[in-house]
Amino acid sequence: MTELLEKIESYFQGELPENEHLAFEKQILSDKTLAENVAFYLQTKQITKIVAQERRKAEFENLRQQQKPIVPVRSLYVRYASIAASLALLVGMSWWFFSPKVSSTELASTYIQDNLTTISVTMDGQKDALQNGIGLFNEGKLAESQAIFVHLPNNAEAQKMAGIVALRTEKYEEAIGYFKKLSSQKELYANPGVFLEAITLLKRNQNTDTSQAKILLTQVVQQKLEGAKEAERILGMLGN
Amino acid sequence: MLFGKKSISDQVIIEGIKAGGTQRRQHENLLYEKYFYFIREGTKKHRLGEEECSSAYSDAVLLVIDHLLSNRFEGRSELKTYLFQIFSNKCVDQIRKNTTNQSSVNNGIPIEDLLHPLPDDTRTIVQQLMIDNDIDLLRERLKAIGEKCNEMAMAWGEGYSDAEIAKMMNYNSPSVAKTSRLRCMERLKEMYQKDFKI
Repeated sequence: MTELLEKIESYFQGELPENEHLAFEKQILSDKTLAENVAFYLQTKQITKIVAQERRKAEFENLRQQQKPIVPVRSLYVRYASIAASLALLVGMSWWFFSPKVSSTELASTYIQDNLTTISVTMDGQKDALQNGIGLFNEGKLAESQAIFVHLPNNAEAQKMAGIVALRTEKYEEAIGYFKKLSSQKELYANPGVFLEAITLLKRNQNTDTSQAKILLTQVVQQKLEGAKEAERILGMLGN
Repeated sequence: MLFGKKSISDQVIIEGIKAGGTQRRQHENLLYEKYFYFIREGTKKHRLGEEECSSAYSDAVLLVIDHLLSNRFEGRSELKTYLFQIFSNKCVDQIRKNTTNQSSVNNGIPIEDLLHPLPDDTRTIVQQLMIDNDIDLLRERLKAIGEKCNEMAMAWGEGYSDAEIAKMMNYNSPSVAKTSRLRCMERLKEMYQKDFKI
């Protein structure tokens, strides 16, 4: 009787010649025994896969149990060795952390080019002046737009824009000032101050700017501040 | 993974699994061990128990293995990313299961995939017969068909070819392994039919 199961298997593996393949399909319609055997074959295939997977899961579970950490009784030697290893790791990580893998300036320039050249308009109480300023900014009239933004000192969006204009015109100290002021406004729902300060530092790329930017970006990611996703991406590209 | 044990690359794991035979099992275990820490991350991220996360992780590893063997994994993303995505989905399934109090059924192979080669009219007949079958009884009889047959059925269930089964179980050739496997299936059918007339 294994011949029948063999033929069924050959059919499902596409090994039957075309005429036999078609005849087999026709036969299922009229031959109840064949149909029942096909159903049994497929059901067995299904069940064996399920049972095999359950068994494999149990084997994985055994592996997991074997790997459960056992709390060792630490000797002094092990403790000193652990401290030494931790210090070595720290030194290694610091070196890795402070040595950029991609040029910070390039990364910041790309970000600025992609995200800070055209800004969508945000509505608020002083929308006319702000919209006008953003309109000028989008037209590339940076100095004229800045003249408007600086006259809206109580508007967070205008502060952000003033910082962006300063960043675009390479007045980095000024930009950092605006972004710091922005990030100090804790009542804002979405505050990109810390993230934009980090971008400014990356763009300036002097002395400890990159490492300082990494700290700020890490803060953005950890505290899920505005720009967290982008910060994570930039950190990854910088080698973190 | 043991501290100090050199981490094996994903490419080596993929090739080992695809190589089949005893290599496959060894590399499956390596895959499981390599990203074992996902379980800990899952417990934190999804607030699931360790056992639940562990089960989701095992399911994810098994699905990834399946996708590797059937070439559904095309290497468009890293193996780690691919596994993590599937693991996250499994965790979400688990959360859904917990909140709706419904247990999911492990279907092994979706019935549509099994019936796929059949034309529509034939498919309906076979599907109805499959529904009428007693799955629990078949499972019980599968346990009782004898050690060798069971081992062979499990290897077949895991997708090993007759050539691989022949090597693993010391048969002279793939065709001998195939004949033995089909005899085991015939035996299973007889045992099943005793209590359930198909």
